[in-house]
Amino acid sequence: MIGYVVDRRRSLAIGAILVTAVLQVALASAGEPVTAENAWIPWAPPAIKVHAGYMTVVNRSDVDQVIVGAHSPAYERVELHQSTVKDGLSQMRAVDEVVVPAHGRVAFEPAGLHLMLIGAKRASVVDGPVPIVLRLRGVEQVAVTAVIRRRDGGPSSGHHHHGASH
Amino acid sequence: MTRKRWLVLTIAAVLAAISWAVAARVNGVVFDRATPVQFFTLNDHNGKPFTAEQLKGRWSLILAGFTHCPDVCPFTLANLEQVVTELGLRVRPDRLPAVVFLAVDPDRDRANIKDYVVQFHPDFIGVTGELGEIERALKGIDAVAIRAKPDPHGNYQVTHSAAVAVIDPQARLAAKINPPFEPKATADFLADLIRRGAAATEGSR
Repeated sequence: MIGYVVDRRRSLAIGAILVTAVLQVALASAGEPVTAENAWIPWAPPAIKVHAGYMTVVNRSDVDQVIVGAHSPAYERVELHQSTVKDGLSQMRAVDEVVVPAHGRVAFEPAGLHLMLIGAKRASVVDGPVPIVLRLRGVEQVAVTAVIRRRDGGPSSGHHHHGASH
Repeated sequence: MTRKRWLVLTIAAVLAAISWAVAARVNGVVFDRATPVQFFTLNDHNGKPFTAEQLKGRWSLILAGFTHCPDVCPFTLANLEQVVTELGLRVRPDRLPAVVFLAVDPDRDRANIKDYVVQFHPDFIGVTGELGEIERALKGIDAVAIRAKPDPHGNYQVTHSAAVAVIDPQARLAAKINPPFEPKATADFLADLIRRGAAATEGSR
């Protein structure tokens, strides 16, 4: 009786692994319609448990894709947030979803749309990889590996020349 | 002779256009009459008293924020670090402004304000204290902070003024500037303000 239960569990586990593998192959062969590029998390001292995540999400498919949430094993919770300045006030609010248009891209960037990474489970280490999963409407998920980097400051940084405006 | 005059006029026009372009990249306001900040009693990130007295004798840039702010506040602090670095090429070291982060969410800020602030520069000053005193300090820099309702996880956001207050060495609100700051243009703007302030002080003696 006990042996039967164990066997059944084992076969379920093997089944799950097989299904995952098949799905992964299927996803890869579909050319990954949605990907994230240049994902990074600004380094923060260990006492600071709330971080921000930035990246550019690219949608190569013919249909709009909707990001409805995110999670990461490195954080208790991940939320989609938008920073805005309205009437001189700096505000941050959670958003339920982010639409990535067909053949379009959406930037998660400082002082704008960003991932709010809440409850860091370990101290941040520069260059350390942080896995993040974006959940899309439907069943698909986008696996992202973000890199922890030091912030480089102002709006003109990231470009190696100064004085140019966007 | 006339050709020379034209040349001079052209050069003057080009220089004016350049300075206008530089000024245009700084979104700020310089007050005709600087207003003294009110008295307030807060503590700096080392626990030492921080009052309007600490603002006297040097220029300061004060921004309101909170340590559970992972996006805009760090962005502005890192941005200010660049501005001050640029400013160091333009004014004497004793005229460089202190950067003061006025943390408006003391319950969550007290524990980690030091770590939060010094990651951007070891000389940056984190300041917080009782809510009533924070209110007084905010009023002095013409700023506000509003705590939003907590979400189901008990987490809450704090909406606050985006502008950075420029305080002169007499502890008066002299100007306000709005992020994002293009480092060179903002440094030019502040260097001009600081030099004019110094000239006015020396002139009145």
